[in-house]
Amino acid sequence: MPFDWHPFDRLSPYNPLHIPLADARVAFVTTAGAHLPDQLPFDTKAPAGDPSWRAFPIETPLVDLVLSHVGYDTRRAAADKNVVLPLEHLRALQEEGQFRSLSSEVYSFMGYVADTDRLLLHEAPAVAQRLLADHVDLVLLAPT
Amino acid sequence: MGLLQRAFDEAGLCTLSITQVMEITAVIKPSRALYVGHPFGLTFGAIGDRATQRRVLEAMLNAAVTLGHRGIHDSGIEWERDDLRYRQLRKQGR
Repeated sequence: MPFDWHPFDRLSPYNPLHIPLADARVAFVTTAGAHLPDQLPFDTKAPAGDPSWRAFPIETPLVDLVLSHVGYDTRRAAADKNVVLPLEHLRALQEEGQFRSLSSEVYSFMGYVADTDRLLLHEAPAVAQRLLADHVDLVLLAPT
Repeated sequence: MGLLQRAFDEAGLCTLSITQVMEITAVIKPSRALYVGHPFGLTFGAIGDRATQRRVLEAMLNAAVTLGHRGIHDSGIEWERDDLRYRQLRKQGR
């Protein structure tokens, strides 16, 4: 299924960070297709992509993660997952006091989602609610 | 990525994303995106290049604090190692 980029008429809302970064709880969301080995891999063969997501603890060592993604060459990231999922740097920055804390979990998507309705109407809002419940102040999102 | 960010923005979360292709982000229109000119699959830098990986992450944190308006902002970070990004954009390489 080819991508059909649905154009949006306006920018989405900007919600400013209302506290100093040093006091903030930060979350990281990736579309690298990362997951734990015992989690269901992303469906890399579905023509419409896979809008589902996986969550894993923020403390997870990078070596314990695997990558399932059809949209980029995962061999480079498999050699050094910090190239797409810089958790080691995030944890170091938190320990240095640049921000207060990290969210309980990392949220991971595959990134190839040609059929976007399920993503926009169900999957992404569900993750947003979990981030809010985790009292996250800032969400960093990184593509691959 | 932009669609995810839109959903998070609509939920009231403060967000900051990386974009590697401004043209796509300009269509999706998430609140705030930071352009980084790195190849696909090497968003934060090359294998083992911990200085650049950290630099990109710090640029995100800095942008999250300093960018007080919506739109796409250029980090000034570009890929200068080889022509991988050039080939990827022309679908001549992964």
